[in-house]
Amino acid sequence: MSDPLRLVVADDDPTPPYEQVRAQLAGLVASGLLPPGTRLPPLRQLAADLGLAVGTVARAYRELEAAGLVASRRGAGTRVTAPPADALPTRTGRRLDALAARLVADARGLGADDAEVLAAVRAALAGRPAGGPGTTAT
Amino acid sequence: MLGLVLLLPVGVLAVVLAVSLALRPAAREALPGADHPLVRRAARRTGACRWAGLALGAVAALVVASAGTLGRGPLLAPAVLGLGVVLGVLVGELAVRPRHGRVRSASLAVRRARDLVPRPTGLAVGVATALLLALLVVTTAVASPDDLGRTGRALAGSCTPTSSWSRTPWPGAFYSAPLAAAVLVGTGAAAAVLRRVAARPVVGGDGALDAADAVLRRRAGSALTAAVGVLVTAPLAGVLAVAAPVAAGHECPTPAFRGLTAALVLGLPVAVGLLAWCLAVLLVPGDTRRRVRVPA
Repeated sequence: MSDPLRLVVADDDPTPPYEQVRAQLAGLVASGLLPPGTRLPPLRQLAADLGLAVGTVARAYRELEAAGLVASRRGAGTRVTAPPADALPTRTGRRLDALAARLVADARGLGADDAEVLAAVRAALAGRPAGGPGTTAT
Repeated sequence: MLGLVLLLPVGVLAVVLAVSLALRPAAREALPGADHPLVRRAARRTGACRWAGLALGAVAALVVASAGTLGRGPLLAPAVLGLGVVLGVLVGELAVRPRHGRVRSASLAVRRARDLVPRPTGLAVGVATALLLALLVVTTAVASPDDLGRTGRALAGSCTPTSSWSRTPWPGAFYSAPLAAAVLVGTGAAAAVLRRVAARPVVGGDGALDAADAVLRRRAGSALTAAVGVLVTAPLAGVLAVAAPVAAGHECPTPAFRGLTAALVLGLPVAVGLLAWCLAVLLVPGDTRRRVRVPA
C-alpha cells in the first residue's frame, strides 16, 4: 500500500493555518494527486490530527468549495470535484504541481518558511548547490 | 431434563470461552512500535481504562442483578456490564493525547467508524441483535398477564372451553420492554463512542506511528463490538433458557408454536457460544485479520 498523502501545518509559518491547509489541498487537487470523487477527511478528524480548531479547517474547506475544488454534502462528507475544463492543467503542469506540493509539504516538515522554500527553489533554478547559506533552514 | 437444559449452556460457555482465550492472544494482531514511549503510554492508558470499565461494569451488574424484581435484575445486568466497558473505552480514548509540536502533519486517509468493527464478530452481533428484537416482539405478542395481573409475564391459554392454564415467567412486555430499552441505549452509546474512537487525534502526530495508532483503534472497536455482543447475547441466552421450558409446557400447541419451541431450544447453545466468543474478544480485544509481521 502506498503512503497516504499528508498535510503539514507549521506554527512558525507566517501564513495563517487555514491558508496552509487550503493551499496544500488546492495543490493536491490541481496536481491530480487528489482525483475527483476523493473524499477528504471529516473536519473533526483533520482538526484533531493537526491540532487546529474545527473552525479553522472548516474555513479552509469553505474556501475550497467556493473555488469549486470540493463539494460538501450532508452525510456524504466533502469530496473533490472535477475541475472546470478550461482550468485543466497540462500534463507537464500537473507533474510540476505534484512536485511542488510534495516539496512544500516536505519543506514544512523541516520547519522551513515560505521565503526559505522560495530561496531554495531559486537557488536550484540558478544551478547553485542546494543547502547554501541562507537557502534552507536545515 | 431441566437440569440438562441449564447445564448444557454453562458447559458450552466454559468450553468456548476457554478455547477462545487460549487461541486469541497468539492470533491477535501485533502492536507495531510497541517499544515507542508514545505507543506504550497510549496502549497502557486505553488498556487500563478498558479494564477499569469492565471491573466497574461487573460490580454495577452484580448490584443490578440483585436489585431487580422477578428476574428483571439478572436480565438487565449484562447491559450494565456492557455500558461499563463502553464507558471505559471512552475514557481511554479521551486519555490519548496527541503530541503537538511546532510542525504537525495529518494523513488525508479517511477514518470511518465502521472500519473499526471486526467483521465476523460485528456481523454475528448484528444478527444476534436482530434475532433478540424479533424474538422479543414474538414473545411479547403471545404473552398474557400473570396471576397477579402483571402485564406480559405469563404464557397462558385454554385448550377446552372449561379449562385454562398459565405458566411463568414468560418474556412478555414485563421483561421485553426494559430489555429492549437497555439494548437500544447500550448499542447507541457504543456507536457514539465508536465514532469518537475514529475521530480522536492520532498517536504521535507525525505519521511514524500511524500503524500502531490503527491497531489501538481496532482494539477499541473490537472491545465495543464485544461489549454490545455481551449485552445482546447474554439476555438472548437468558430469554431462550427461560422461554424454552415454558413454551415446551404449552398444553395444546399449534404446529407453528411447536416450531417456535424448537427454535428456542436450538437457539440456546448458539447464543451461549456467541456470548462466550464475545466475552473472549472483550478480554483480549483486537483484530486477527491482518497480523503485522515484525522482522526479527
